[in-house]
Amino acid sequence: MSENKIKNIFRSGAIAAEFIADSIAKHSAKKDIGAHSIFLGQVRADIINDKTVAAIEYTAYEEMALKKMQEIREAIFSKYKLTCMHVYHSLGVIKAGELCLFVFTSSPHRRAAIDACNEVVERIKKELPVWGKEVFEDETHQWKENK
Amino acid sequence: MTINVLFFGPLAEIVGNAIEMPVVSTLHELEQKLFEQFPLLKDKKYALSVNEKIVSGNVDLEEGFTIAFLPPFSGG
Repeated sequence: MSENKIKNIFRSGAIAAEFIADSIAKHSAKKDIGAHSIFLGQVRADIINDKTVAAIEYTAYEEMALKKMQEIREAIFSKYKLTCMHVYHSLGVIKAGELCLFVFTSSPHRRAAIDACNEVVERIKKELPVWGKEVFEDETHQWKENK
Repeated sequence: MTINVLFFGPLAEIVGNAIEMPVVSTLHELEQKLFEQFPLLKDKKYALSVNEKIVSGNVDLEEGFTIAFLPPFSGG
């Protein structure tokens, strides 16, 4: 799999558990892999000033985010001995309890997969122009800010 | 003779998703013009990108450039 062509990481709606299972299953053909690391981001029903978050609506500056993601991908592949890496981020309304981010790294040995996965997640949160609007049960909203 | 200006997240609620502005020579000038039109924008926290690259300081602008106002990111 080439790490040089721009991939679209964005998916409309939540990431289904079946999609993740399929993605894992597909890797059984790659017999040089000895370790996978997976991060799943899930929408949390935070309670803020007595109001409960019902969903997060994600929007992005897609063109810029995809270019930035490509830059991150290239940096990660030159830093870690990875066999492959897959990233999916949801756009649109994702309800509390649903999955909104799926990062999947694979390598011959565990350390590279684990460290690369952590680093990619941190960089996605910090560097991708993506915004989450927390929509409360009463349909009011506030804008999330990553810490 | 315009510059495309994009707004995201909470800033899009103030200005809208995108507007076309007459060409001005620098990014600071563009910000000043937008503050006059949308005073609420002035107190907001944001980064700026020019043609999909984040910039700091002042930058010369040309016709057809795309500028984006990027509030703090909250993806993932």
